[in-house]
Amino acid sequence: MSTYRFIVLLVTMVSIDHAIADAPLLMKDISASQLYTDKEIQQQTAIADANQKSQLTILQQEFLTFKNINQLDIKKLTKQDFALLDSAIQYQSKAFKKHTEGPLPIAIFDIASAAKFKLKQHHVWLKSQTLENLYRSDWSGFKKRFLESEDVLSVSEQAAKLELVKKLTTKETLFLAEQLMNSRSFQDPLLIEVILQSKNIDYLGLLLNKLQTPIAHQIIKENISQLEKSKQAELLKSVIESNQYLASQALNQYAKLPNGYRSKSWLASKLKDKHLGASVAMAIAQSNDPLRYEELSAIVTNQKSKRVEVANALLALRFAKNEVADEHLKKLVEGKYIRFDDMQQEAQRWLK
Amino acid sequence: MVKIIKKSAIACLAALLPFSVSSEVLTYTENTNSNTQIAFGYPLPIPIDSMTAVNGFRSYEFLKAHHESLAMLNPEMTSIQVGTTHNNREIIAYQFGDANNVDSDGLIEPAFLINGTIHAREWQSPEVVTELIEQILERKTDESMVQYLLENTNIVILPVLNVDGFLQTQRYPINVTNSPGTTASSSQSEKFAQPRDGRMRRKNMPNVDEVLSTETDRFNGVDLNRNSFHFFGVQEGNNDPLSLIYGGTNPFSEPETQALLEAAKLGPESELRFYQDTHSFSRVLFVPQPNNARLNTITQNIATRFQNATISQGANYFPVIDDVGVGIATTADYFAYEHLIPTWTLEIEPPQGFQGEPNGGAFYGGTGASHSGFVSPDSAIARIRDQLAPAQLLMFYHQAGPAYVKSIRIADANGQVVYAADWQTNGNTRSLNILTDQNLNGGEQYQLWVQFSKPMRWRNNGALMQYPGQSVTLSPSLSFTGNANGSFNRNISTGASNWQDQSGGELTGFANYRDDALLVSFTMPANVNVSSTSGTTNFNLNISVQDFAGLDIDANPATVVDWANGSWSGLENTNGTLGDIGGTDSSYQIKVANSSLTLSTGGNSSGGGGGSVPWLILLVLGLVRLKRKSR
Repeated sequence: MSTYRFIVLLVTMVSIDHAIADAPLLMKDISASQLYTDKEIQQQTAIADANQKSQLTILQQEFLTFKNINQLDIKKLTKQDFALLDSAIQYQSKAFKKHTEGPLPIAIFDIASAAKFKLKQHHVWLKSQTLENLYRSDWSGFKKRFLESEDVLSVSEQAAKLELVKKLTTKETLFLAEQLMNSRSFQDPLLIEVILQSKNIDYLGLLLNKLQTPIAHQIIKENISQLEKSKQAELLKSVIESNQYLASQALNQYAKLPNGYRSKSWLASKLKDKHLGASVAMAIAQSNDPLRYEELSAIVTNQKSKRVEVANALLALRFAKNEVADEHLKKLVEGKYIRFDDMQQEAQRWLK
Repeated sequence: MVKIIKKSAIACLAALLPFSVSSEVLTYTENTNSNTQIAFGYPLPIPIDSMTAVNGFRSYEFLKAHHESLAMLNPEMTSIQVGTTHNNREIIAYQFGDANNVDSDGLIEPAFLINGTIHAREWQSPEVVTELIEQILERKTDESMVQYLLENTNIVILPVLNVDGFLQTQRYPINVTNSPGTTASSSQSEKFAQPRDGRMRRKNMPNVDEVLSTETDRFNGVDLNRNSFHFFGVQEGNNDPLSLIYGGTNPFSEPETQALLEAAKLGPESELRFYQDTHSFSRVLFVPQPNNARLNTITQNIATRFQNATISQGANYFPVIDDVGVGIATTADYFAYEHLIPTWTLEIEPPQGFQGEPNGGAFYGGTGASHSGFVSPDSAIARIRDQLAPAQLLMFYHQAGPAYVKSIRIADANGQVVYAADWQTNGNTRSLNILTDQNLNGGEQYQLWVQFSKPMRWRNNGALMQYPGQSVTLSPSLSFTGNANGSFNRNISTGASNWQDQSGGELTGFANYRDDALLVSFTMPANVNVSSTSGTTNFNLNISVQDFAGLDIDANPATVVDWANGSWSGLENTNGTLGDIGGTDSSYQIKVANSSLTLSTGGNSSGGGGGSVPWLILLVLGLVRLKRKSR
């Protein structure tokens, strides 16, 4: 099917009766001919290519349009491609299948979203070309543009900058990181990217002590483990102390460090922490040190131990999931050494 | 049956063929497309080993550890193993409440059941359910809604039912296997059209080895949301073991669905008043409608309240109402039809099918690739969790039942109690125990304190306001009516400020929870007509209030409200008619004396009657009264 045919198809199909904007389309809003089963979808899409010249069903027309959009090369879009994409972003699907769990018609091919995404990718690519040219020809001009406030830039330029960071030298990223730290928060994606690319441990530490976005978890899991063990321990301790948001995950990474790099007493001291104590219990459990179990039992039996401390000591034994720890738990439960009734009952249930 | 055997035989044969031992493993990516990769347009979430909530999805091990730690630290949360999966993993339900199973009247508490993660790939579900758990515990001493729920209801939450399946999806967070019937040479769209294992596993894991590439077992498993009794096997595919919606050999054949029934018993089942099965995606509620008009009206009403609560949080969870008597053997169908309670399948965002809003992963700026809706980006989940908690809590509060007036106190200007009455519960009935019943005098000022059985108002940072997305009249409606020597109706002026948010008890503050009481000053009208012989008349005190979920109080507390056969029992409206709507409680007769004998009507009274009494009679009455006073 030619691109021209797609455009004609889209133009003729754009008009559709819209349901009210704050409600989904319901079964009563579509005709029976617009509804397809999984089997029909499979059959019709399989033969859609072959049937291009004969009469196509709505489903097949949408399938081919969707496929065509996805196959467009964002670096080589023609006039016709743009016309197709521009029409497609307004397209309302007409071929549906029934939702698996209830009476709701679901569009089979989201042509509009595919077109929007393709255009977005194209714009990012265009921006990245401009930025890369500037980077290669005019460092000063590039610097200025790179450091410009995000507020005045398009989304595609921001995305292009993020992509470009990978091509910068360590020295350049270090310089840019220093500049950006003066003006942006540690949640800023560009600042995060240049710091990661700079591989500067001090900056990484500063970043992790503040960071609360999803990428933080990837950094804790992947980037930090590439550092030498003592550095990892130092960084993770700092994160645990200063970034409550990341502390639980950081504790888990800390627990994985070899024995000599972990401070047992420091970990134990945090068992009574109201917010983090349970995560500390998990960390202690994962350090897999049977000698700790005596100490944990002692915390439980000590009359001076606070409620939170007793709870977390019990949790550490529970999380250890091994026979020695279970034996300690059993002794504590059967000997009724747990002085808080609700905890005694909860621990009792673990042993069932 | 022949069809099933044929399909099974084909599957077995396929398993024996040497070239089919490995399925093709495909990959979801952020931006790369190829014949074995498909781009979602945003980073794919990887399970995070954090016990505390993060901007992302927690690994099952840490999520479960988090639940266990909360249960250990909070006496209000109790863990119960309700079953074991096919692969011998614990299925844990958590019960929330106080040490006893009775409410403040000594009656068995109503119960609510929330199920999570019945479908493995729906990662939004355990996070949303865990947020609910966290909010219940964070607010357990709020002296308001949550504390009331903990002390007077029984909440059962099962965060992860399909443990084996969920772990399989987390084991392969970016990988799936190719769609049934496709081969390495099939097109990308064909291969990714119906992914069934790895990140997109939906079913449980009987006879599945947890290795993604194993061809022979990747379609195995039962759709746990088709394994219930009502409507079992009605859909095409329900009887095909290789189908995505295979319902199993018989209803509740699976250890996981049996565990759900065990969780319901914690209610116990007979006390259940609400069930939610928590899924993703589509941002709708699928609402079963058994052949029970009253139940359906109530369910649709609360589904709208749920929707309005979510709209106030920036989302729009639209109720999609099933046809009456139609179902597909979901667990929501089971609880609706078996126990006649409001139920639904909550489909968490992203939306699907809303005109003008992108579907699935495109909602987050992604490509909208097939099945991307099951994969919300990390950055979205914290918002999603927060948006849904208020609506779910409101459902508990609503289904706890309509409030009733528990106590009345009236004190004079010196603080002397002149009228005191408490409702005393005895089984399914209550009697009004009048402790003090002195005359109130016309023209004098009094304080009226009314205690209700639940917190009636919602506050945010101390300020009284509507519960998110709801709209009720914040000021209560109080009046005196009488008909001795002519009808009389006088409203007592009230305002939002009359709700009590300081402790103190009768005539001072709230009783048990913030805003479970109101305190009003009023002046007994001087222009009331009294009996010519006793010099007094009886006024009815009329109380009409909605709680913050919009439920009117029970107009007759003498019959205890409960839930039976899909509707409220013992709930009367203003006229005393039983039904599902409360009304004005006029159970309180207050004796009023008129010392000043000003018998004209006026002020804000409506009705009255003094004015229609012939002047001669008035004169005679006045003389008689004067004579009495002079004695």
